[in-house]
Amino acid sequence: MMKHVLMMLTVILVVVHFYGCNQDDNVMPSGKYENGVMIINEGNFSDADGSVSFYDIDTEEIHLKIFEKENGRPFGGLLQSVTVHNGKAYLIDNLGSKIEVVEAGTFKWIATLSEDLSLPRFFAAIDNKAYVSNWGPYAPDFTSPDSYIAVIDLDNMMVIKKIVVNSAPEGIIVVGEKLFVSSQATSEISVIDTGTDTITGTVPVGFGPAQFVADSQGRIWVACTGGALYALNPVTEEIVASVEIENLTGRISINQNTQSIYLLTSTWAPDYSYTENTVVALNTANPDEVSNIFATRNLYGLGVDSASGEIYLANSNAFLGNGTIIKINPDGSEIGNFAAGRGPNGFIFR
Amino acid sequence: MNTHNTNVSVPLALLSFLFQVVIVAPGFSQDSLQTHTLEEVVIYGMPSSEFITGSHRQYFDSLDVLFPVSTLSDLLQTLTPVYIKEYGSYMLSTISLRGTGAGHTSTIWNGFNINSSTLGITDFSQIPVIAGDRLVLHYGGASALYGSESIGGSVIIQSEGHWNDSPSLSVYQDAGSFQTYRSRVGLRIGNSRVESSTRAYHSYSKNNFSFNNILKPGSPVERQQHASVWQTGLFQDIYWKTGTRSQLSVNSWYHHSNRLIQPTIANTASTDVQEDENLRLAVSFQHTADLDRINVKAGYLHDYMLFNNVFNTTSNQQILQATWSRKITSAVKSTLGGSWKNVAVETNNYAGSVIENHWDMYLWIKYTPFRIWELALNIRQAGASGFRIPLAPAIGSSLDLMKTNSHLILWRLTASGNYRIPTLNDRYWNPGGNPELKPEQSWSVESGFRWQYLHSTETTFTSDITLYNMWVDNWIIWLPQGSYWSPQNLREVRSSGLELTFSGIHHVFKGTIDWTISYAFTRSVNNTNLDEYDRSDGKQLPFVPLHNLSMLVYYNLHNWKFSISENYTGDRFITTDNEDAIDGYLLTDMKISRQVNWIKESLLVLFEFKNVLNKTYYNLPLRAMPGRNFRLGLMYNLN
Repeated sequence: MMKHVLMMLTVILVVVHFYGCNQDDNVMPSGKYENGVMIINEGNFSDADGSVSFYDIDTEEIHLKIFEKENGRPFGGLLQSVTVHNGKAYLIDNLGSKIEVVEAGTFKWIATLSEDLSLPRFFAAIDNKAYVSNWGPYAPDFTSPDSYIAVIDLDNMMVIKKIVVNSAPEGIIVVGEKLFVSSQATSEISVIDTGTDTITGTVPVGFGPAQFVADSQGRIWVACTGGALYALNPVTEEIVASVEIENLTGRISINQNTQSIYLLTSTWAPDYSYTENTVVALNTANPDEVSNIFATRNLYGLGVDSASGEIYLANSNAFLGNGTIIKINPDGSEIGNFAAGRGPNGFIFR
Repeated sequence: MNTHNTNVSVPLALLSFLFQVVIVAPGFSQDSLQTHTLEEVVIYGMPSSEFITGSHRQYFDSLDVLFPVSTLSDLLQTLTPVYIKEYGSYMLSTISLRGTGAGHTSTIWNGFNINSSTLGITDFSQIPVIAGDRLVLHYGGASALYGSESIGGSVIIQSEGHWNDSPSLSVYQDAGSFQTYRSRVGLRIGNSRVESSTRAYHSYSKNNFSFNNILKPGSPVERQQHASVWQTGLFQDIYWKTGTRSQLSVNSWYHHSNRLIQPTIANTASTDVQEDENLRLAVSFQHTADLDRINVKAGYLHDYMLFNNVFNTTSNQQILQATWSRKITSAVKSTLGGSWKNVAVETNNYAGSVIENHWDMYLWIKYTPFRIWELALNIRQAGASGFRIPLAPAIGSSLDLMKTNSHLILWRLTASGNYRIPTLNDRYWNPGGNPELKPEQSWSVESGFRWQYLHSTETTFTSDITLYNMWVDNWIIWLPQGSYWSPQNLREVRSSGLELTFSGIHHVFKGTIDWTISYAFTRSVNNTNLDEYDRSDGKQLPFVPLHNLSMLVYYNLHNWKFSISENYTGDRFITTDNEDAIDGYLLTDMKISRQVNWIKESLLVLFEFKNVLNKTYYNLPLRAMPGRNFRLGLMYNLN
């Protein structure tokens, strides 16, 4: 009897599975871009050729300009960042001050938000509300005195509120009911209550806080371009660890399995003809033990694939040519490299 | 953080030049070939014009109705196979000669290099076609003759007296699409000893052309909202023959322009504005004796640029130049010269004001051992406080292989070393300027043939071919260094190519067909990799088209003139690794004019039809250009 029931269940499951797979994409989308690495190519200011590349880890195939391929038009802007949330990918154009929303798996265009944004940078979302850091229009001397966080209703793709913050808000992360925003022109992180969408306080850190990552213990780590890495307890809003690392660019990535954090530094070559970069590694368990695992030139971003532990480095080729992605192991040995788009600056591992 | 790419959003200091450029009917009148020296045109007041032996030069002179009020940007695009980079309609236009950059061509106005002292380039959209009486395009390096920036070539503009006894007046007005209005007035008065030439111009365009916004779903048609431009200016020249063999010339030029900078399609909300104001003065005195000639020039170049009402740049240059030419024997002529220049720049783009002194000395020798063979040896040494400038030698040869009443075949050869001093922006931009930069240096060798054929009085035909090879070292490129960009002497380029021109005049029915086809093949190769992952070594430089073709045909019949011009610009790569490119395009323009003549006066009606096939094209990525557009003009001439 049991055997028959199990057999029937299996048949039903198999039928349902095939039935589901044969439906439209509307019902059960299985996009081309579900499993692999999304590479964010910023593009060059003059040519506005920001784009998204997709690297299939299994086949090692790279698909270039997937937004253009799937939608018949170029992205056409400076692609500052991409964030995936609830099955959608939000592409932020820092040049045209707009956000293009696509279906994360198929990259088919859904909507564009172009109002009420001004030099937008990074995106963080909670349920159907998103927060985007905006530098605001440049003053005549190219400083950013009118920076704000745009609060966006994701269902209608509209900006519903602007929260004034310190100059040059960069990294942005949601932990629990709080939003943390780093202000790269200052030494402060602003804390915003996501219920009321108002600033509740600030946390002083080193100069130039940039990007955040969250670890498995609920702490958030922020890389500061002034030359330090800080760990924050988001509940108490206090610094719980700090490590001095010189010449940080502000990029940071964490391997959630091993709890290793990777950072990027940038210094001038002795003859000033290129930038030298090192990849710095440490573990959240003992952050003071910092090691340099890899050194090269012209790096503009990095990311770590928690599943495999492989670290992806983005070489910008000084924006004169297209970028190159270099894959390394945690011990710093090079696995390989492949060509990407213009000025790659980040990765999303799917 | 790529928020402020300085080598693009740098407020572009523009120099405007006014050109009175006209095309010359290539070919000859009914006289025999021997009486025409299209090969060498000795320009009065310009000593260097006698020492250009062996170079490939293109001359444009005599008034022509095809380009009454256009800018040099239009003219060079239509009449030469040279690539002009346009950043939009009526926007910045720079030249790329033989695969080099905008700063690798010098622009010489009445003896002085008027490239911007801060940017080191010329914006040819700011040079109306009434700046000088003669225009010459010198292809290839010529630092020995013209100094810094003469690596890809040189654009030479020279004004001169016409010495007619009766005064002449010319008034032109046109109106065209996108609310474009252009006016020009010219008055020349004088006698055989003194002459005054006054020319005034004004152009305005609302420039609200429609374009496809290809970045929005459905590519909707939109209109330019922020691209209107105006420019206005005045030339005043005085020519005075102070003695039977001496002459004083004073050339002055005031130019003022304002432009709403056309945004790229990616950033249509941009509101950049640029205002330019220039005052240029050239005073020249020339005296000729039996064997000697001396020429002394003084120049003053004032350039003011204001970007977004905040970033201002004021540059003042004072130049003194003296040359002494001497006929040493019947076969040898030489010129010895020197110049001194003071440059003072005040701008809030630098940490402080900059003052520099430059000098140079040059020696040009021409040796004509036989009537059919001319050789030139030219050498220049320049100097400036703060850096060493390499020696610029040049050698040239021009040999008549055949010279009869109907055929002329000429063989040209030239080799030269040339240089470009790093611009003030390269050295002093704040932040990022690099005062340690060295001059760029190039070596080039070229050979050419010219064949001119005159068949009775019905047909003439000219063909010209030049092959060249050039190496450029220490080419300056701006690289990101953390949060700002900085220039380095990093790149090595090898450029080689071919320039081909065919032209002819044929008498057909009762009219004349005049045609010119010119083609340039440019293989400009980057021999530099920035690091081990760079894929640029061996690839074509970005924005250098491999192929460029210009064709112009016009038909003259009884005071009617009809012309068609076709201009093809080949595909261009956007990235140094050649992995991305923008498409080439073919543009068609037509003109019809009718002239009515009285005894001393004439009236001309001109209708221009541009981009006849309504092509959507991009000279640079995402910078929209106008589709089909029209213009109607009226010109009145007295004498």
